[in-house]
Amino acid sequence: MTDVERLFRTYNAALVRYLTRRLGDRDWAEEVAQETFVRALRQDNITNERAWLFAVATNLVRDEARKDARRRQHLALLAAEEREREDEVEPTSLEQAQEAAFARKAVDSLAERDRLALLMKEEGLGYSEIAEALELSPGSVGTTLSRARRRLVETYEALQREREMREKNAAS
Amino acid sequence: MQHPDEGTIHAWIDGELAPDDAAALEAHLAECPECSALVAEARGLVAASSRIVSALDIIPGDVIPKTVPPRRPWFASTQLRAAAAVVIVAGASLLVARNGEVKKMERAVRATAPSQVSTPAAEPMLDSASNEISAAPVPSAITPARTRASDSAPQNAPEKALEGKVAGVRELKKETANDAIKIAAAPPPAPAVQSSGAHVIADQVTGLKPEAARDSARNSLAQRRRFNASPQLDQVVVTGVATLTAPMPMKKLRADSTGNVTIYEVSPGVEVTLVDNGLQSAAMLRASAQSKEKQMAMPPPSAVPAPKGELNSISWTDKRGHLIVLMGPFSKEVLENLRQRLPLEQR
Repeated sequence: MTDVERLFRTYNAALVRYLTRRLGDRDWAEEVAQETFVRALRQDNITNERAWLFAVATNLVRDEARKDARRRQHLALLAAEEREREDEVEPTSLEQAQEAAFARKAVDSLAERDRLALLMKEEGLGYSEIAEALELSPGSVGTTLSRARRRLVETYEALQREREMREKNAAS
Repeated sequence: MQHPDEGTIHAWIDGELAPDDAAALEAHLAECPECSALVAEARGLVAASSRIVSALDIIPGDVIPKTVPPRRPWFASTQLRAAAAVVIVAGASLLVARNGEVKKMERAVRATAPSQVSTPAAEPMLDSASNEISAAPVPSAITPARTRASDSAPQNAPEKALEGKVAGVRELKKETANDAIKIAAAPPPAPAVQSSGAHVIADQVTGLKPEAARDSARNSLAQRRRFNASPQLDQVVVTGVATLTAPMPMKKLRADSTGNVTIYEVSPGVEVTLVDNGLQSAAMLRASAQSKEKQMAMPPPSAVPAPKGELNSISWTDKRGHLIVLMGPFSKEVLENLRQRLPLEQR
């Protein structure tokens, strides 16, 4: 098993999940993850594999977002078509769909660095790895995460309250 | 130790605090209820954040209605039903305006409020009339149209009227069993139809014999105020189809995003739906349609009775090998006519 295969098997799932959560687009996420592993092939001496992979993936997203919005749109379209074709999609309750929409809004409301730190933490990266991937000082990761979590939860709860208010108004 | 900041508390919860710092924090928490409360809150935030981030992984499944046509019971759309009602009313209006003979009838139509179909007064009459005439020869090609205003006792009506009525009754029964177009509201030019609930039954009409029916109607029903006979009523022959037999181009109204479902306008307000099932073989599609039939209430393309008698469909394989299904509030014959007005490659 080559090194890149090992990297792929070890980290692909987490990386794709991280990127999907970040981008809201599974196809795009997989493409970025693959590109990340291709770059890992060319790179010697990666000290912290996971931090390196997450850092490169994050930078790829940033670069691509800047340079290729059109291609991204196309990919999003393809992904949507793919989903339409999928027969085996689990039926989603309205509640779940609502929850996902609120979660997306709340995550999008975070500052980019806070959001990335939080998503990396959720993938199991340690503070030092997050610091390395995002070029933060290790001491500031706790503060970054605490800010991200508070903001995320408060935004999410505000969205829920809004909906409850709307439903109450609609009912009365 | 001073009160720790929120970042330190989160680092401690995440297990990222150096052992010495962690020990100091724990000692502080033991004697500081304020910070203990902060820790409790932070634990809540950590847990809630994880839950919210996980919710990003929910991929909406069937919540958003799919655009793939076979999965959607499109025919249940109230729009379509409304459209069906509109064309019938429009056709009826046109014909009411016409005087004299109506040459072509393709369909018997009852113009009535549905509740009046089974009026106790009407049903026994239908049965007795059927029984009496069953021995008599059925009028062959030409049957006078009757209003069922001749709801009076059969013996009061002239024999000829009776014949016509029975033929009409038979036709009515047949059509009801199949897919009779029902008119919920009578056209404005014939308010008497709506208010009285009279049934207008027509079958292969070439000439109308109004007197008998009108007389009997006046004799009996007018007194009961169930029927306000109008001279115009004799010319009220509703086909619902006549508007379609005139050469009218089919206008493409809209198509869904996949291009598989196209709505054509037959005449203003009247639509038929064309579903292009692509290169699927007909057998495959029928099989899948039948398997879904129970749960989806989706008729197989060749089903004879349409749901609730309001819609029919025909299907064929076009020149490109696509299986095409055309559905609309018309009889199969009319749908076949409409098929001829489709774009060439889909016929």
